[in-house]
Amino acid sequence: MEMSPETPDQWLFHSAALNETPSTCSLQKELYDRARGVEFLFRLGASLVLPTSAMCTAATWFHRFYMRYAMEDFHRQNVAASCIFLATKTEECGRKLRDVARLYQAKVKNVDITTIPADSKDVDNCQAAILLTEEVLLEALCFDFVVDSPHAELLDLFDTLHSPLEIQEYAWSLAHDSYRTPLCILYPPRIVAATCYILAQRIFDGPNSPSLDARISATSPSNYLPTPPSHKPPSPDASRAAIDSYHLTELELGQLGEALGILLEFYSVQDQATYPYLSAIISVSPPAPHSQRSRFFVPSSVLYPPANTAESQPAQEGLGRTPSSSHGGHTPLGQPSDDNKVSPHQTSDEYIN
Amino acid sequence: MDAVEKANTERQRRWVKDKKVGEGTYAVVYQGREASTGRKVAIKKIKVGQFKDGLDMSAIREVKFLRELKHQNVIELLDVFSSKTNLNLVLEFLDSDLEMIIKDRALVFLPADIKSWMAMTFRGLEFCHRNHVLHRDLKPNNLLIASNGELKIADFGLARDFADPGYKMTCQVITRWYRPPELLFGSRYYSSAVDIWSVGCIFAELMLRIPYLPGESDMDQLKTIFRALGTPTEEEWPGHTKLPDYVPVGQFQKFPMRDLFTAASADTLNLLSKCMIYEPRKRISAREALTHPYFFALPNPTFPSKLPKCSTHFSARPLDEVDGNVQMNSTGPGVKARSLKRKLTSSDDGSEGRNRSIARRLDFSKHTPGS
Repeated sequence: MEMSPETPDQWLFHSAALNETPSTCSLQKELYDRARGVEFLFRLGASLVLPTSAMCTAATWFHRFYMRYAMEDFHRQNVAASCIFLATKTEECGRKLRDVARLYQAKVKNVDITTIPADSKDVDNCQAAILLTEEVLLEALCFDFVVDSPHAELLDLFDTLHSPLEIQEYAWSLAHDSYRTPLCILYPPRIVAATCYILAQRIFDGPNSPSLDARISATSPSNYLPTPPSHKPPSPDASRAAIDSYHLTELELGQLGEALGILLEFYSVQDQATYPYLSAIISVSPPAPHSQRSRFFVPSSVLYPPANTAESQPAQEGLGRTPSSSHGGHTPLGQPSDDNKVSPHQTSDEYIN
Repeated sequence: MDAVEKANTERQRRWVKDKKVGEGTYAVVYQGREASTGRKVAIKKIKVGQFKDGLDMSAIREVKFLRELKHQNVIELLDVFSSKTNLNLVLEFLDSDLEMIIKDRALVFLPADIKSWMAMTFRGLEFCHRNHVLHRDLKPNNLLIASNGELKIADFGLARDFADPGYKMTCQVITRWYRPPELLFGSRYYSSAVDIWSVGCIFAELMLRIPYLPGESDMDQLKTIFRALGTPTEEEWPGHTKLPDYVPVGQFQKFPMRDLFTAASADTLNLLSKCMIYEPRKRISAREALTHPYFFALPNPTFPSKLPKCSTHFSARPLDEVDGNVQMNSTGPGVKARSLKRKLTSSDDGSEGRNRSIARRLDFSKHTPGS
């Protein structure tokens, strides 16, 4: 590959490309496992007290890696740990390999890190696995170490728009969660940032506020009115402030709609009994889809039906339901164990020093 | 063979390794060429999987920054590919470095030559700083010289992007003779001004033809600096006595630069002294330096291809800029920097006094009127 001034496009894929990844499992299974892997990655990163930038970089690499290698060949936890370890090096927040490996073991065994001796066989094997994966990872990444995140874009947006603190916090959490979906390899950071911001605003404004469709339509409704420019209201429509400040093209607005659809689809399959605080997000109707795409997310109960239930739902595309008709339908089943949980907010368990 | 492997093999075929020219802690360097054009390149083969911490930090930094930085005065990374368990960086091939040129007693530097090297250094550095990259190891043998005379900043093994204000960085960077006093006093929050100090030292070295501030230990380095520039007062450098590793090293009188740089013009000394201001915030920036009157006064900088060239060849000596044994620090952020690459050797020691007198007798006869 020519090393011309890097085109970021190399790492942005069409959503259809996700059907063509090296993994042989179904798309929904792959994305479910990716979400679990990113969850594990965030938990490792939080316990290592890494800066947000390192975690976002690692999570982006994680998604890029699985565009080139199969989930069946490289276990998500090894890849997650390897991404984290490499990110501590590129983002100048060095941690010892041994500590990363010990934490890995602690998380997998669900015990406190202090119970993991530094010289155990498991820790040694774990270190070797991380290093082995690192070699493959480096090549898969084409040594592109510098990754932009939506968080940086959000900070600028908060600054220009003087956003209320609550919107900022919503948008920030949504940006974290966006890594549980493949958004970072489908759209550039500013589209992801705008997605998070607009969804945060919609949640903040409440259920009776303008719909997402209205918020991302190509022209603001007030533009239809034959108002001379001099009579335009002094303050622009607040719900469109993010879009207006980015001057998004029609194509980008389409991407924004798709990204919102993906993020909301992800939330819609989460277990509401375990995460009741998600209801405000889940109740938001996604914008009308512009293009056909396969379903990305299904509830874990569909992928892993309880053993005694005869009903085995086919978990392929072709389920063909639009995201808007999907919420509600599932019941909380079998408590997922350990990292199976896809919690929308990372938890920092223990502190390592 | 999958697409990735195939692409990699194709890339690998583009480059031919000819001969080994050097070996360092984390890499072996080969001279090579591009198969299709015969263009000379340097191939740095990085050993992976040999380190207890995976890919070496210096290698990571080098790749990370060189992939981003493309500038006439920054060494160009042409390609990266992997072969078996090695990573290979393909860099543009450069004949010599500024250290070899400074040490080559057969060469005579005119003020215009020095101005040309300084302009290229500041241009490259301004580009790095504009892109929020600190080099943190500027010294003459990291300034490489292409066959057409162009100067290129190389060795980004200690570079890093500026931290957020309030984020600690290690002070164990920059080869001692080029290390600014704030780092010697253990400052963990610093800025692009550290690179400017190094450039100032290089500027002086170009005029003197020997290292300007050759301290023998970190403590001696401070003494050497203060002996040359005077012990800073609280007024000159507010708060320096509160720095973590501050120690009083004695009172030295400020000694006019003019006494040492007898033939330098007023503009030259003004720019040099602005690079060597104690208070880091007052030190000149690379951008400001580029518009300093020094660069607009006569003589005009020498055209790169007309600059003095070294008779000895790069591949004739062992490469030492691939050296780098950075270790992960046990307590969180930061790394322990490599040991001094360019130590005081016995030959340097012996010739010190003699060199100094030679330096003072340099031919500056072409200096501009009014200087």
